Amino acid sequence: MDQLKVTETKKDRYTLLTIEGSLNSYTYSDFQNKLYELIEKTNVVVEMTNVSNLSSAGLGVLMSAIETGEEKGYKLYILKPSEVVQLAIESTGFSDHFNSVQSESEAQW
Amino acid sequence: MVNQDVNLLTIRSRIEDICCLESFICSQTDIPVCERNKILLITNEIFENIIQHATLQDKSIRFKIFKGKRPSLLFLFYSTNFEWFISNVTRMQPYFDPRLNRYRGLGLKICYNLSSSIHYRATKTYNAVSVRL
Repeated sequence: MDQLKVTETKKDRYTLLTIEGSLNSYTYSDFQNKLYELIEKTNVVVEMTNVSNLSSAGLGVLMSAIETGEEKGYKLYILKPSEVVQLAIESTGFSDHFNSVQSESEAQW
Repeated sequence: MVNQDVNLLTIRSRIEDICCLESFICSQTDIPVCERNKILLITNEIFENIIQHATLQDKSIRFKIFKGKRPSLLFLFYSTNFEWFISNVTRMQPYFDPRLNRYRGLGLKICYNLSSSIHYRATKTYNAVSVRL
């Protein structure tokens, strides 16, 4: 199983974070640091097409970042979640907290 | 990783071994992907809980998949604080943990929502967490 790879791409109105691999208790900290840093100052789109696992640790980071974004006036979208990511989100019962889109153009800023 | 059989994996109680657990589950290609995804999510949470809350006597954890129409999962380990472990892992409501700077408590919701039953059992020689999908 791969470790987590995080790639950052700056766009006009947001930053795209592409993550690949497993987002779990062992791998989440770099992603957490990067996401928290970004959501303080810009909108963020997190592409999760190639995420092979999403544990509650990763979900907890996403939830916290969404809250911080709301406080600061920024939004966080999850782009093209993989099947396992979708399942993880739905199984928490908190799907409403997460904005998922299938293309970057669907995000509303 | 300590040892691996077709359906049985023995791993150490350290968080980096979560990667071995994930690889093991992904290698079970005779289980349909939708079921395998559930197994992946559930086992992650249980393994993390054992690492975080159980005081293990023997530093190894055995994990077994019973295949069938509805697969079931079994974690075997031996801890000296199993009752305390259960009281911690059954905390159902999400809460913000300032130490980790993130929400916690979502794991059990995932486990319960993706399974039909979860049982905890303690004997003199081992503790068991069994899950039926």
